[in-house]
Amino acid sequence: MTAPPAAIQPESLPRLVGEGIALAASAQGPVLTVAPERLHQVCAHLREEPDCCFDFLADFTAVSHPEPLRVVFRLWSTAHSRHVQVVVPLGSEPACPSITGYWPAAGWQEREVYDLFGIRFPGHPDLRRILLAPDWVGHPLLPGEVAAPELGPPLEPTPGALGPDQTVINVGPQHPSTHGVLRLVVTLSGEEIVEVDPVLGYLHRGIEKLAESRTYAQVIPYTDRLDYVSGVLNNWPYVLAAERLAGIAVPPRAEFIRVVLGELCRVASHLLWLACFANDLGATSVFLYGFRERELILDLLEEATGARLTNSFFRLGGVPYDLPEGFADRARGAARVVRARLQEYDSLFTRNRIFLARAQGVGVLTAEQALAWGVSGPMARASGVAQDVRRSDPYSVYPELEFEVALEKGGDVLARLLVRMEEIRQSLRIMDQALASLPPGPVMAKVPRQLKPEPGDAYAHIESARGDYGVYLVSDGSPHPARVRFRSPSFANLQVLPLLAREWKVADLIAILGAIDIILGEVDR
Amino acid sequence: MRDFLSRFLAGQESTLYEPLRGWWVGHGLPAGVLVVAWGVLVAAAVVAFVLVTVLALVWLERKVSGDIQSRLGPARVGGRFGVLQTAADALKLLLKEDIIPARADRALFVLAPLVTFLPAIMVFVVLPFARRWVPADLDVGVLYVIAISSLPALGMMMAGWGSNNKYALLGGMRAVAQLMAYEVPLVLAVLNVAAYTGTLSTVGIVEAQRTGWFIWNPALAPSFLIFFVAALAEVNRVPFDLPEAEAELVAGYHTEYSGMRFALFFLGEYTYLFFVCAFGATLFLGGWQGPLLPPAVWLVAKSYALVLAMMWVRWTLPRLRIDQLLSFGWKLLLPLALANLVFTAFWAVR
Repeated sequence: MTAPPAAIQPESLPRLVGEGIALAASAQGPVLTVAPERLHQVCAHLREEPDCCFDFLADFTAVSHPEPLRVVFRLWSTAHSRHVQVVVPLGSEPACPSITGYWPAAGWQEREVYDLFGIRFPGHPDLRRILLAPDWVGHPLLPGEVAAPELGPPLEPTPGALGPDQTVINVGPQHPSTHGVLRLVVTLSGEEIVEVDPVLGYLHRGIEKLAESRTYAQVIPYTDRLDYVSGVLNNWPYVLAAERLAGIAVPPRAEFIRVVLGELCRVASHLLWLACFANDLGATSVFLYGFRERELILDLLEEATGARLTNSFFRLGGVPYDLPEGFADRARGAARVVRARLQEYDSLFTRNRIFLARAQGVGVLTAEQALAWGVSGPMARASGVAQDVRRSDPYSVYPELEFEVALEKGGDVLARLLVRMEEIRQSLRIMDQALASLPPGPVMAKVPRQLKPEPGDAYAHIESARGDYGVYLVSDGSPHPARVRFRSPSFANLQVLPLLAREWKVADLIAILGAIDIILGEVDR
Repeated sequence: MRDFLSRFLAGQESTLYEPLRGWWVGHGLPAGVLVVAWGVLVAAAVVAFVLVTVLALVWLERKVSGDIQSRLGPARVGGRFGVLQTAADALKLLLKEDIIPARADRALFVLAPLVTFLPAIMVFVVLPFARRWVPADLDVGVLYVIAISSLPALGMMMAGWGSNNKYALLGGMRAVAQLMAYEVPLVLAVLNVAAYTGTLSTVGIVEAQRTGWFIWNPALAPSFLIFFVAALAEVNRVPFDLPEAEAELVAGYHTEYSGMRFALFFLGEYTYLFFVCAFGATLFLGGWQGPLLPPAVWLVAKSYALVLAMMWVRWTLPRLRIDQLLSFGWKLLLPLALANLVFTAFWAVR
């Protein structure tokens, strides 16, 4: 097991300090403040220096309030398991050199920051709006900007350059297999994929903007609406970040309850994924089976939290109620059923020859690609990236619990399925342990009715059902967070779709998209 | 009368035609009118049987899939078992607004459902429910089936092209590619039976099975398997439901169809499903032959057994990809069917 070395800073960092580059320490690792013109020098250092090796772009965003407007990004080193935060303050003509050359994952992230903050990124290959409509006027996360829609003159559709025998087909936003309102503009040659351009934002509700006008506690219910199939796993990074910001210690019993419910949500989410994925491949019955088993989990969640889908159960400082009486036994019973049914799935689906022909070797993502593109979670682990936030940057009581990080080498659609299947088993195992070692005591810390954290920022990330799920919070000392940023794993993972789907067939596009496991609520936010 | 009825049910009597004709001509009425009227009557009987069968099949499919997927299926309309559910659905479809997309090719769009549905009914002409219970015992019955049953793919292509929708077009193209790939092994499997029996008449083929069903014949058993797999593809069912693969092509060639026009596609699909199974029962499972029960009951029972097998497959397997489907058809099924035919031709036929 790895120790949490988050606060240890690479030795070579102080060497960087000079004109335009400052170094500070924070509870969550070193913070580099860099002038835009020095950014590429810093990036090269952070990427290449052996004691840095920051190979994973964990988060990328901007903060406009309090002044100055700045780009903030956070890198993670898989080799050393530690973070570094880079802050790039910008002037009145906001422009920041693109870092896509170092971390391709920044591609969509920079588009998002451009979209919401109007910051330009010279060097970006394709700087378009991503979440808002292309004819939107203004940048809603700038201070003083109203979030009301104001549209410019309608844009004429631009005919793209098509080769001979090529056609463009819109998969979505209304399509059975986009699992929500995702739109893929697909260029086809016959049935073969030439290019895929995901168009996002059909489910963009401006939750980050909304959060700015709520109190810290009021933000929690919004988080469930992001990844709406794994309820409390959304609450978790937010309350974790807020607790770090305000220095709240959570009682141990609450931590264990959080683990139990979090793992249940992970199981429910993976079962739902399995169901929909099987349906994408035409195995209609597995679809119903997945839902049948998920029902058991949802019943448990309903019993514990009062809600089946958007639980909103975590509070700043713990959880509001203890687990109901007899919950542990019923949870163990459900776990037994799910474990037994997993074997049925294996014989019906995972070992089915037709399924194997559809999944093996399809949409291969290498470990290097996964890291470079910021892919995390089961998808990265299917490519052999042994990263699981529960182990690599432990939070809550995970260091006390025994479990294996599911890992596959294939990097294909099949590997993604196998990883998730194993994760269901491991999650049930974690849940069992957490229920067995539930300590006595209160479930809520003493928290002031209205939280007013000191000005500052905090970042927390957890392993959600889809990957590395982070929340970056900035406080200006008022009861309202100055900035709430959700680093959603689906958004980052979806970015590799064009890379994976090229030269495969339409049917494979559906399989590959399904195996990424996106939730549009989280992609569009 | 009872004597007549038992002979009638046994399929020995050529229905009521002979006595009726005697009565008709005896009264000095023109024989030609009777021939036409009789033809209409038989056609109406076949269509009525087909429509009732389709209603039953759709209900059965929903019940079977419900059972496989641990749900109930229809359980409200028409009692606990929802027997009237499909009738209600059909009524709903009939009452729906008729929508033709503005930029569709109207002629193709309107004709396509008919071109798909009618052949599915037409093939019933040569299906023998009993020795004399066959609308027309053609000498070339098998050939007739093969010729007519290729037509639905034309209708699917028309629908795909006429809808002016890219998903529909992809579905239509898949339908044709798939039909080409699976029609050939299917025909070879059927030809194998014809070569073995030396007749193309469906009645003749059933008669030839008096001593034993062809499914137990070592030369013809492989043909049955090839026939069954190719038939799955012919009727576009999982794992070969690519022309309408919901997850990929929304609804394939009938994406733009609604109301009664959609219902015609749907009807055609289930009609053809039943026919393919009945045809398989005729060719390989001894057709109407069987002890005790009336022959027509035997044929229907055998057909339903095959239908149930197809439903079982559908609700169990995932879907193939188009290239896998084609290479399976061309590279595995076709050589197998050819080898089977050669074996029959050289060794099994005396």
